[in-house]
Parts: sequence; structure tokens; C-alpha cells
Amino acid sequence: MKSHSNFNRNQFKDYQSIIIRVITLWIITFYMIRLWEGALPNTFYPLHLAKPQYDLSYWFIRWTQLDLLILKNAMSANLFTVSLFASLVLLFIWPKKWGLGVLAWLHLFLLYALTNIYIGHSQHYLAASVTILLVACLPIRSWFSYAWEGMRFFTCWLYGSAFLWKLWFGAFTDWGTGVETVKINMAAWMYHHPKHFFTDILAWGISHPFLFNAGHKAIIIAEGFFIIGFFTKKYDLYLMAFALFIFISTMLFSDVFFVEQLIILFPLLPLTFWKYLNGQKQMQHHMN
Amino acid sequence: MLFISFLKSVFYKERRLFILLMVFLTALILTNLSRNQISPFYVWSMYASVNHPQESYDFPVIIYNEETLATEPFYRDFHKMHYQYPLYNYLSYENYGNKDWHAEKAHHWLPNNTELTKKIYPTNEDWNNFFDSYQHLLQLKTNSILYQLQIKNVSVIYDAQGYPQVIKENIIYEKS
Repeated sequence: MKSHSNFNRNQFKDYQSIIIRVITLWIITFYMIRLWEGALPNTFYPLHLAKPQYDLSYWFIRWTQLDLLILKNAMSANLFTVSLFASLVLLFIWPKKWGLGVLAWLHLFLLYALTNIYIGHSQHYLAASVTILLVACLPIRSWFSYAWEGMRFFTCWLYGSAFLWKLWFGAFTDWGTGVETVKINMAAWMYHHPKHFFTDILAWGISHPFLFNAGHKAIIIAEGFFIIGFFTKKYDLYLMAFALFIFISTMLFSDVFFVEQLIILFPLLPLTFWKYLNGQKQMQHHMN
Repeated sequence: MLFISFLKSVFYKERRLFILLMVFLTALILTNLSRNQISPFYVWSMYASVNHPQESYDFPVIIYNEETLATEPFYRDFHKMHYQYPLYNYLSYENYGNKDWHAEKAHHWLPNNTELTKKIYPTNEDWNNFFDSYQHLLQLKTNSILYQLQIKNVSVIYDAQGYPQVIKENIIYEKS
């Protein structure tokens, strides 16, 4: 128990490069898919209806008109998209250059803000990449291990606070919210796929709501378990399993696809994983 | 407690990092207490509210060049939101008496009709030109020239077997 609940301040310091490379590769992979599917600024630049809500950062971007500069036309939007990938590739090549980390972070942040402002919906799952990439922006090497440990607490905060909000606003204590969420979020999907076997599964669940209501509570409880992460690392692998359970359940039954957010689970991986990955990399280096 | 142990270690070994960490934590706590996100200090409160049974469940359907756009593929993907959420945003404007309700309620922080407000929130012209920009988006996303477009709001209710039944269809926009 003691080894799981005491903090070791330098344990990740030798794995800075591999960790930053893995998270950068994760981001590049999903942004390549976004590019393929036309979900980057080079496709959505025609939208002019901004929804900055009450986020002061969005207000700042609107005030400076940086958004209008980037989304002015196809060329400016394409330039930004190329620049986004270039910054990530540079960071992948030189993961210890904190200036490149800042550059990539600024691109990700702008992408996050522009997407939310112009698509008109707060896509939190993009925020996870923005937050985790802060570890690549630190100018002092000895800070990295602390920052990586800090990100682990942020992951616990992310899921833990989602649980607390549901407790506060009543979603946890309201039995019927589970099936209602399915009915609201899956209506369009069922309408578009009337003959699909999954529509039959959903319809059965809606007419027998116990399963969806109980499943909804199980998801919220799984979020609540993350609070344990503030006390010990002993259950980190269970927490990862819970996060995957939450992701798959909400993907199937709430039509919420936040695969990019799973990047925030990397800090829960044990040191042995990074040791193994680093060992493989070094072995490959020696063989070459 | 692991978190306290972490904070103590940062405090004693890396004082400057500790200050940065405190700034981050303070901003995070304040944005959460105010329930107003200031990126990158996020409030993870989505799906926290109670969902009550509704009279009907509404969603937009897009018929593009005489075919229903596959805005809901079986596999979940990234671009679906790009079809729907700009429409939801526009519909909220129509349902709020042709007013931008965010802009209307921003008076607590922003003076009315100043240059600053006009820079932050869309103008009436932006709202009126929404469908022009949306058509442009659809052409880019489908990689085809538009010759016909119909956007309708479909309302469904669920029958006893749990299947959605259409009870109403309102055409929001049509171009042929």
C-alpha cells in the first residue's frame, strides 16, 4: 500500500521523450482521421456564425479577430491546417524542445477554440489534448516528472468532477435520466437506421428502461471511482478499465464519441509500461 | 494522501513550478465555482442535468441533392457534429425570437451595442446569411456541387416497443 500512496518525484524524468512522442503521435493520428473526414478548419472555414458563449478566451480570440484571419478563406484555413500538422511533427522529432511544445500547444488551443466557436458546441474531448500537451511546454527539465504526475491528478479530477457535477445537478439521483438520455441522443440515429439490428437493441432497451437507467448509474459511479486516484495509484489500471467502459457505453448508447479524450489516460499507465517502450526503442536503435 | 504528498514535494523541491501549479489550480477551481468555462480551464459538467421525458424528440434531417445525408453513420465519427451543431445553433436563434440569446444575456459583462460587443457576437447579417455559409460547408464536406437542399426538423415519439414514430416534420430551409 505504501509504495502506491507515496510520491516519487523523479520517476518519469528519463521517459520525457518517449512520453511526449507517444501523446504527440496519438494527436497526429486522430487529427489525420479528422482531416480525412473533413473535420478540420480547411473544411469548416465557410461557417461565419460564431458562438463564443461566455468563455473569456473565446471573447479574446474574437476581439483580436484571429479567428477571422485563420478562417478568412480556403488558403488561410489550409495554411493553418498545414501549420498545425507541422508543429506536431516537429514536436514528435524534437520532443524535448519546449519552444516546439508551446508552438504545438498554441495550434491545438486555437483549433479547439475555433472548432467550438464555429461548430457551435463545446467539444470537451478536444480539450484533453490541449491540457495534456502542457507537459511539453515546460522550460525546465526537472519539472517534467512533476508535470506528468500532475496530469494523472488532472485525469482523476476530470472524471471525478464529472461525477460530482452529476451529483450536484441531480443526474445521479434521478432514475429516469438514463433512458431519457438514450431517447434524446439516439432518436436521430434510430430514424436514419430503422432496419439496423442495433435499432432493435435500442428499442428493446427503451421499452425495458431498467437496463439503461441502471447502466447510466454504473457509468456515473465509475466516474466517481476516479476520486480514489487522489489517494493511491494502486487502482490505476482499474480506473483505465472504467474509463474505457464509460467511453464504449456512451459511444453506443448516447452517441457521444470522445475517443480523442482517451489521451488523458496515458498518465495512468505504470512506469513499467514506459520502461518497456523505452527499452524496445533503445533495442531497435542498437540493432540499427 | 498521494495528492498532498505531491504538493509538498513540488513546494519543497520546485518552488516556481509550485507557483504555476497554484495559478492553474486556482483558475480551475474558480471557473468551476462560477460554472463558466474559461478555456483552457475546463468545467466537465456535461450531461449533469436531469433529463425529463419530452413531448417529442427533435432533430434536423438534411436532404442534399435529393438524398438524405448520412449524418448518422453506424460507426461514430468526427464530422457528424459539423452537420448538426451549426444547425442547432441557428435554430436556437429562430426559437429565441430571432435573437442571439448568448449576446442578449451577455449584458452583465458587456455594454450593449459597443464595438466590442459587435466584434464578439455575430451580427444580424451573419445570422441572415447562415444558410449561404452552410451550403458552402455542405459542398466542401460532400465534395459535390449543390443543386437541391432541404433541411427539415423531424419530431418523433417512441411507441410501446421503443421505436421512434414521426409525428411532425417542419421544413426549415428549402432550395431547389
